[in-house]
Amino acid sequence: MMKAVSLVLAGAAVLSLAGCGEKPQTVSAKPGVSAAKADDKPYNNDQFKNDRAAWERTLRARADNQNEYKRVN
Amino acid sequence: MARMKFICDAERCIECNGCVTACKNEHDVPWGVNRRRVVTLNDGIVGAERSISVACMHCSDAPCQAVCPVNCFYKTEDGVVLHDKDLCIGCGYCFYACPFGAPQFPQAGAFGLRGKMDKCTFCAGGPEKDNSKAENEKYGRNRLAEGKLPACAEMCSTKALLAGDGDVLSDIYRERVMRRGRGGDLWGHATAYGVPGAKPAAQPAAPVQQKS
Amino acid sequence: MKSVYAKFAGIVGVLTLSLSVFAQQSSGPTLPPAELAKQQTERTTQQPYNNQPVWSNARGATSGYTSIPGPEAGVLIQDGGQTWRALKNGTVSVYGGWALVAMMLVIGGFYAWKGTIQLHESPTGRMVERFTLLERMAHWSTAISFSVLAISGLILAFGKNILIPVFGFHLFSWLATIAKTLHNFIGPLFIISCVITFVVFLRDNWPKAVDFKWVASFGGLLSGKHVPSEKFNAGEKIWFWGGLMVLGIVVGASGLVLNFPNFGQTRATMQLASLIHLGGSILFMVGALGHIYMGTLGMAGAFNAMKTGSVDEAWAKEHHEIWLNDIKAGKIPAVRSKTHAQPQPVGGDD
Ligand code: HEM
Ligand code: SF4
Ligand code: SF4
Repeated sequence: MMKAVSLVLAGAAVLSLAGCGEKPQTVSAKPGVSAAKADDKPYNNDQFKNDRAAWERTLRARADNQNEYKRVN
Repeated sequence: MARMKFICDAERCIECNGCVTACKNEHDVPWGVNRRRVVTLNDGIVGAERSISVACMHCSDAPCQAVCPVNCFYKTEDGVVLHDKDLCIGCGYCFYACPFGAPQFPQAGAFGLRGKMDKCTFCAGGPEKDNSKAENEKYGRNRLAEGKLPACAEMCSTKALLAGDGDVLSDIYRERVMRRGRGGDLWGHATAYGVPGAKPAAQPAAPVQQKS
Repeated sequence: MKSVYAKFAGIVGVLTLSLSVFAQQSSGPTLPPAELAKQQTERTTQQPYNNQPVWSNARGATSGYTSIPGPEAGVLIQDGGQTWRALKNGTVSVYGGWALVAMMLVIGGFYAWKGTIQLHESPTGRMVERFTLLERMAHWSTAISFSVLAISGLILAFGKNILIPVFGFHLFSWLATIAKTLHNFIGPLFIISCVITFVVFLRDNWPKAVDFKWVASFGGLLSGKHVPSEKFNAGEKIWFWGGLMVLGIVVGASGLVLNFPNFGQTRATMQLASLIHLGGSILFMVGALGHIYMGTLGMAGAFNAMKTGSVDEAWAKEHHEIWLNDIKAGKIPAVRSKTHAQPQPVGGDD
C-alpha cells in the first residue's frame, strides 16, 4: 500500500512539471500578415499606388478633420 | 507607423445612435447583427448619465485572437484586428473572451449553430481583395483602402467618437481636455491597449517574432 | 463507508466554492449602482468632468441602457473573458494536455512491463453468458459516441497547436467544422446512451464489501495474488460510478450549457461551463484510455466478452470468480437473453 501511495505521489510530482510548459500568452502573430491569406495593404491600389506615406498623409488629414477647433478657427 | 484606435468621449456622446446607424448602413449589416452599440449608464439620472459608443476596440493583445480554435484572426500593420470568415467555424469563443462584447453572430441556435462571426472591421474589410465584391459581401466596405476613416466616427455629430491613428487622436483629445480644464480619463483604453507605464502589451507595429 | 461519503461531500463542497469564487470575479462594482449614480451627481457639480463613479460602474456585469437587443448588450466591459482565456489556453490546457500524454506513457510502460495478461489455465470450451445483446448495444453506443466526442473535442481544443502546422489553415478549418458539427450533435446522443448504460449496468455495479478488499490489494496486480470479484470488480465499479456517472454528469451538463446558447446564457456562464467541460472531458479521456486498454490489449478475452457476449468458464473463474460461482449455484440465471440462441463458443483465448 505504501509503495502504491508513493508511486502515485511521485507520478503526481512528475506530472506537475507540466506547469513549466506554460508560456506567456501574449499574441505574437506577425503583424500585417493574415493567418491564412495574405491581405492587401490598404494603400496598394490605384488611388495610392503602394505609397504608404501618401496614404498616411491622407488619413492624418482626415483624422485631423475630427478636431473642430481646427476646423472652426 | 499608424496605430488605429477608437476614442469615445463620454462628455460629448448624446446617445443619438448615429454611429450605429452609419455602421449598419455602410456595411449592409444584416438583421440581428450590430457591430456598434451605444450604452447609457445611469440612464435618466440627471448629472450622472453618461453614454458610450462601443464596438471592437482592436486590442493590442487581443483575447479573441488568443482563443480562436482555428486561428482566423490577424492584425494589420496598423493594429486593426480582422478575421477570415472562410475559416471561422462559429464556435463563439471569441465572444466569450472579448471584454467589449464585440463579436456578433447571425443567430444563437440550438446545437451551437451560430453562423460565422461578424464584428467591426475598423472599416478595413477582410483578407479578400480590397473593395472586391467578395470582400464587400463578407465584411462590408473597405474605407481605409479609400483613404477614409471609419464611417461611425467620421459622421459623429458631436465628435464624441473619434477614430484614426492614436497619436492624432491624442492630440485632438488633449486639446479638448485642456480647454475643458480637466477630465482626461479615456473609457476602455486600459483594457484595450494596456495601462501606460505597465508592462507593454504586444505592439502590433513592432515586428514580433513568432515564439515557439 | 460513512467517512468515504463525507470525504466525497467535502471535495464537492470545495469545488463548488472555488467555482463560485471564479463566477464572482465578474460581478460588477464594489458599490451598488444607485450609490455610484448618487456620487456621480454630486461630483458633476463639485468636480466637473470627473467621471470616476461612472467608470467604476462600467466594468463588470452591471448593465446600462442600450437600444440594441440581445443578452448583455448593456454591459460595457466584462472581466471574466481574460480569466477564462488565461485558464483555458494556459493552466487547464497545459496540465490537461500533459495528463493525456502521461496517461499514454503510463499505459505504454505498463504494456511493456506486463504485456497482455493471459489466462493461467487453458480454456475449457464451456461458454458462460456474460452480456446480453441489450447490454452490449448500450455499451457500444456509449463507447462509439464517446470516441467521436473525444476525437472531435481534442481537435477543437488542441488542433490549433498541433494540426494547423500540418494541414494548413484551410484544411484545418474544414476539419474543425466537421469536428464541431459532429461534437454538437453526437453530444446529446452520448448523454442518452450514458443514461441507458447506467440503468442497464446499475445492479451489477452496486458496491459490496469484497470491493474494498479488491481496492486494498490493487486487484492483486502488484502482489500477483488472486482476489475474487463479482461480475464487475472494484476497478470496473469505480469507472462506472466515477466515470460514467460523475464525469458523465459533469461533462454532459456543461456540454448542454455550451451546446444550446439559445437560452440567453451570459458569458460568465459559458466561460465556467467551458472550463468545467474541458477539465472534465480530459479526466474522462484519461480514464477512458485506461478502460479501453484493459478491455482490449491489456487483458486477454475481455474484448470478446463485450463483442460476443459470452466468455470461457476459465476466464470467468480467473477474473470474476464470485460471479461464476453464483451462476453455478443458480443465484444468477445462466441465460438472461430473451433470444434462444445459445452462446457461441468463440474466442476466449485471444
Ligand atoms: C464525454 C465525452 C466528451 C468529450 C471527451 C468532450 C470533449 C470536448 C472537448 C475537448 C472540447 C473542446 C473544449 C475547448 O476547446 O475548450 C469540447 C467542446 C464542446 N463540447 Fe464536448 N465533450 C464530450 C461530451 C460532450 C457532450 C455530451 C456535449 C453536449 C451535449 C458536448 C458539447 C460540447 C460543446 C458545445 C463544445 C464547444 C465546442 C464548440 O461548439 O465548438 N460535449 N468537448
Ligand atoms: S475588442 Fe474584442 S473583438 Fe475587438 S480585438 Fe478586442 S477582444 Fe477582439
Ligand atoms: S467564432 Fe469564429 S472567429 Fe470566433 S473564435 Fe470561433 S472560429 Fe474563431
